[in-house]
Amino acid sequence: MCSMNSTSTDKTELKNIYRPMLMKIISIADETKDTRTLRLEFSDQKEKDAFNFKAGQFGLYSAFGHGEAVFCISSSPSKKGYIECTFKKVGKVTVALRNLDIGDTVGFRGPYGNNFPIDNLKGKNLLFIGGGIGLAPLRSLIDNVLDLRSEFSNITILCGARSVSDFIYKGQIREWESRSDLKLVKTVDALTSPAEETEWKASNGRVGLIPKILADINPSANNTYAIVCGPPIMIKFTLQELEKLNFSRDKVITTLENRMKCGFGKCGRCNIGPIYICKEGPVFTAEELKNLPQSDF
Amino acid sequence: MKNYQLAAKDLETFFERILSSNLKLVAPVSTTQHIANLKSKTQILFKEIPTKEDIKKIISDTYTDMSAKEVFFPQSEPVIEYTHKKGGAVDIKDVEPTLKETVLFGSRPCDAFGFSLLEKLFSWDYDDPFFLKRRDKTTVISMGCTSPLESCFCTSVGLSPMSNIGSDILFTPVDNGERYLIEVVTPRGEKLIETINGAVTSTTTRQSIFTDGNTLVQNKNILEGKVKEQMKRKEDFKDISDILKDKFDDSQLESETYRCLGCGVCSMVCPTCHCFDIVDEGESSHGYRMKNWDSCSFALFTKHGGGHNPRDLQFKRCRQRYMHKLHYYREKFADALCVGCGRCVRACPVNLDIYSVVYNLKKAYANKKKDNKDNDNV
Repeated sequence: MCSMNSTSTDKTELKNIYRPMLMKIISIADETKDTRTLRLEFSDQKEKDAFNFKAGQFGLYSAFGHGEAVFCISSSPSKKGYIECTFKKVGKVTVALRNLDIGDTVGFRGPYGNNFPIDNLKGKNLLFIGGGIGLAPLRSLIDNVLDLRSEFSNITILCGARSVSDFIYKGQIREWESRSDLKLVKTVDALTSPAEETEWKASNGRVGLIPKILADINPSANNTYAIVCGPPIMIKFTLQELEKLNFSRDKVITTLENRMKCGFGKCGRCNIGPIYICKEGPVFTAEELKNLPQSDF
Repeated sequence: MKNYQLAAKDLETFFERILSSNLKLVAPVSTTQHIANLKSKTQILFKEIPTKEDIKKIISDTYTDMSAKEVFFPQSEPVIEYTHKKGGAVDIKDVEPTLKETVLFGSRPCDAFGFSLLEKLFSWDYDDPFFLKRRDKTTVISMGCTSPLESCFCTSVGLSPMSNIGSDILFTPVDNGERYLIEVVTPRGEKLIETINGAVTSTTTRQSIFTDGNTLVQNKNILEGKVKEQMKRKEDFKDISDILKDKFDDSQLESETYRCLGCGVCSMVCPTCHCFDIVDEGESSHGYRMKNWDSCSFALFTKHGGGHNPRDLQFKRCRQRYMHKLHYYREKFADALCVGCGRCVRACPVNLDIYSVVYNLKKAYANKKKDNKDNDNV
């Protein structure tokens, strides 16, 4: 029976699945006052050559002596040789990661989880909707799509943050704004000063929560996929708004994150109902989410 | 596979031969822990039996406070070792699990079934080397139950007090405990019998302590029927998975589990609870990344760094435990994650009883079905 399975294959050769790869920090970018992006390069050439991932996947990043934390890979798979992660200072591990400098070593396990279905998106209009740090997993896909721009139809990016200073990837947003082959809409929940207001309005910035702005820009659902990420409450209301705009649930894609420890379905904490976010996610369609117990989100 | 018998008086010789064959022996012993000089607590736990002198401490036919899952999945174990070097560099080393050939004696049939359930999880796409390597080096000898406790309910989950799934060898005391029927379940079990008999490794001639056991099989079958009959808890758990499927937001599950304190003792004593945490322990310059038991009953278990907690109330955590055990695991791995050992029932400080919860849910479901039918008939 089951115990026989274990004798039938050689267990002595099993790899240590908890062993991280070592990576060096090659650059640091402060996105906001508490959010930072690290660019990491594999220390080992063999690991660097063998590494592959797809937009939407995640990993466990560690500061040795402090522990591991889960973040998505926020850089595009089309950018070879390095990966990036963007994280907010919230606890022991993220504080420890912030205390590291260029040249210091961090651990990385991954990539884990499924990915955005980029092949299904080809030939379609794409509507990206990112709230706050939720823009991080979308950026991996947006950059990936822009590197293959001709394979996709119209692209719209709607991104929002609590305030102007809370935007991550400010430089990149400016770059996207300057492109003629995509439409960028940016919004803040609120402005903090008249001076800020003048500047924000001058740069075509909007004011209002993402679901409201989404209703204002009134995108066509025809031949369009919406890809959404943000805080749980924003996702909830954005999915409702998309439904009003006649987006069918299988054309609305989102990526979830829960607290995770292992990343591969064993530590037992990231499930929503029977679904393990680390194994069966983190990318889901709104249709898939509909069947999960709503009070477990 | 073969059947043997062993006279009860030869059990000590059996243990001696395990030790003299250079095998690690783990078996139930009574241990007393002194807690902060205030009180002492005596528990029956699985411990290594290091020398022949320790053999008499073995309690061969007993119920243990903790399951033997620790033999494969220790409460706390290092998975890597890290050392910080100058200039921000770090060295890491794998930590190999101790791999001495081990004989685990005295687990119950329910516990042994639990090992085979855990194996499904620990080999789900990613093979956990720590669990699987230890499992591969361990021969499990279970002791069939002749007097189950009131809290036991192995027959509810499709087992029997003398089932052999997950064991390599099953002992059953027969003829009023005068002898054991030894059923060899796996080739690994047969290998151990050969080793103990001296056929494989011994340089001196040893007399076999086993004789043919086939004549005892009928006695065991009769005994098994009697013991099953004696068991007080007989509700069948088979259809609970389907009932729970629709019970997620049901207020009955909430009220049944409302008194849970979130102490996590159920997970600690459970032979199949496997949730764990990964943390770094040590100094900043050198230490270990540890895999430590955790529990879905704890409030911090699912709390996000940003403050959001998907399971923010105790009943939600309790619901997760029952759902995971009785529904999700079955959907994924074909078996429920409860073996009916009753440890959580005995250990719970507020008498939360998984068997009663299932019993009550089933009863309410049956009543509702009956009501619906009655209404249809009106």
